Amino acid sequence: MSTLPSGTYNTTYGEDMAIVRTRLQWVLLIGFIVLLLTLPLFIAPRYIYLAIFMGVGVIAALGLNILTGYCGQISIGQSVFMAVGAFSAGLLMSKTGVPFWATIPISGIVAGLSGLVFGIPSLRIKGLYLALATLAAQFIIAFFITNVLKAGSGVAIRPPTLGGITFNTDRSFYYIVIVIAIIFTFFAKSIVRSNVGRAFIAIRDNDIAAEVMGINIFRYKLLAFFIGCFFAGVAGCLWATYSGLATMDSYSLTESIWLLGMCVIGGLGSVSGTIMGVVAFRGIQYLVQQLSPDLGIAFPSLSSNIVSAFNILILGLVILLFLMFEPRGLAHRWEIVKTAYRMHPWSY
Amino acid sequence: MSEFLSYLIPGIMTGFVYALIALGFVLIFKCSGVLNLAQGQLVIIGAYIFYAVAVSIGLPLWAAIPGTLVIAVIMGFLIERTVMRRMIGQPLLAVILITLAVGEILTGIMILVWGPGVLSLPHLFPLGGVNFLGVSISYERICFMGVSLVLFGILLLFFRFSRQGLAMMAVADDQQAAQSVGIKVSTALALAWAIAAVVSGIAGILLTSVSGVHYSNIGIGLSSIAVVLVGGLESVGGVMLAGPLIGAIQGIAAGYLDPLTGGGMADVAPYVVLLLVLMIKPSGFFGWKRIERV
Repeated sequence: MSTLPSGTYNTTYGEDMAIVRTRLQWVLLIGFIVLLLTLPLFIAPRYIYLAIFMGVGVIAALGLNILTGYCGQISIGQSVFMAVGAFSAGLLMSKTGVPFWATIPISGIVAGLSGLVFGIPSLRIKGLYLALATLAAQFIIAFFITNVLKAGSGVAIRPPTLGGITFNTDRSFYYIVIVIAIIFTFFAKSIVRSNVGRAFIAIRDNDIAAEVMGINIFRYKLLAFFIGCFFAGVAGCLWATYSGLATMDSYSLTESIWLLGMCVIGGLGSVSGTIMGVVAFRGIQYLVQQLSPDLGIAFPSLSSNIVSAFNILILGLVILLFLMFEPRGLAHRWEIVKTAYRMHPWSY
Repeated sequence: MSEFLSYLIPGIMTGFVYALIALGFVLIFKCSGVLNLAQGQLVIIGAYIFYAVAVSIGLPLWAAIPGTLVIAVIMGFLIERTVMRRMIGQPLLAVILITLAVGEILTGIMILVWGPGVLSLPHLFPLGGVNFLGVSISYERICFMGVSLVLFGILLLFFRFSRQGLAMMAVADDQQAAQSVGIKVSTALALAWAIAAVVSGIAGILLTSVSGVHYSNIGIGLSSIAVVLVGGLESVGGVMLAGPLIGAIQGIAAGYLDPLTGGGMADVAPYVVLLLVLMIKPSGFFGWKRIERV
């Protein structure tokens, strides 16, 4: 919940409830969406890959931010719920021939239900202990997919079609991802503004006080788990379909840590911050992937796994530095910049 | 019956090493209230350092082991001083995530320096084994148990009788009260990290002397978190009982269920136990129950 600057008041109910408040914000929002929709026309194909990577990350990180940033239930297993979505979509499409468009909500619901199972302990435990339960979820679900479903090595997925168009290029798939990402961003923004979102924030700030005020904390905690994992499942379904293969390698514990890192870098409890965090984090990740082979040539004595090594090292360092020096994330930085602009000749 | 024993007994003995790793968790948690999720990496990096000292530099074993432990102590101090000290009073998520980030950085360093191959350590223990109740037990497993018990005894004496050890127990009990009687809390915290690094380094050397050193083994250290939870996060003694228990469950689960699932049972069994304990008795069997007030 952002507060308005001094001297700005809402005088009508409509103004108070508006998501987009000023004309400038409308112009910026529409300009941004137009930019997103026309982006593939003027950027190189490899950047379209990056944009899809970011779009999927935005969906997964938004879910995690609702669960962890708004409701305060720390989850160290978000990527494994992406895996649930990816594999349920993959198995449904390849075994039973369900069309891609139907698997998007189905994989979200399957992931959400599996999230509920691991959210049930939140009835009794919270904080550190709940975080450990989600850590256990990471390993138990990965084991289930690899050893019980015997699908860990990969499920091949054919590109989706719609009325004669086959979405098999980066450019066409980009539109699927970006439209869904925009819908989910709007969805997330709406949830956190509603009574459900306020209940989440109350539970995060003090769950016992929230319960005393009449909020059914178990129900809302489970709802947060369901929504968070639903987002993850849809993201996993999209990523698996885009890469044409669902494998367990893409959804490791490290990936869960990165998703948490994106939320922290962007700003916990901020939807726009999440988008900034994902763009910044995925951008750095892409940059490291591009630059580290050159570093390998410059220092041949280092190991041959230089790409993965630098990736882990630098991304870990980014999260570490943000937690140490800007734990409130980019959203907070942006607020500071905005305030400084408004106050310009004076510092306060 | 002999099949059952042949799963049970090696499991129990490996469990003592888990207890050792879990001891690292407990020490840091008691002193600072931080659950160090980088423990798995501390275990394996200890083994890598031992490889560097004993194989790459080529020191004899009697010099290499103390050398490794000295480096581990320095590493523990460094992590505490540069990173963890800034996290005092920060929210839980920040503390959890920062230990995970430290773990990822350590993993990155391991891959960067030592590469993707499996490195084999020199044999520490004689080959072969003895026969006990119809189960052949390798000397390695007996040494696992012996080393763990000896270390545990040393630490127990340290906390019971030495000045610094008593100071650490006081810090664990109440930081403010300890500070007011003149105990340096910062020293106690740094020492907790150093001791944790040493015990995990030893555990790493033990574990990898059998399997070889590879960074993917960090999962072993992380799964010891189940041991800590069963024993109770604040209990040093509970860990020593829970370690062999988890080892036994792991051994039996892997023995009977691996043929059905095609492997992987040993990795996941601790987490299943962890989840069950969290649902049934979250404070563990020897931990403290906290009463929360608004």
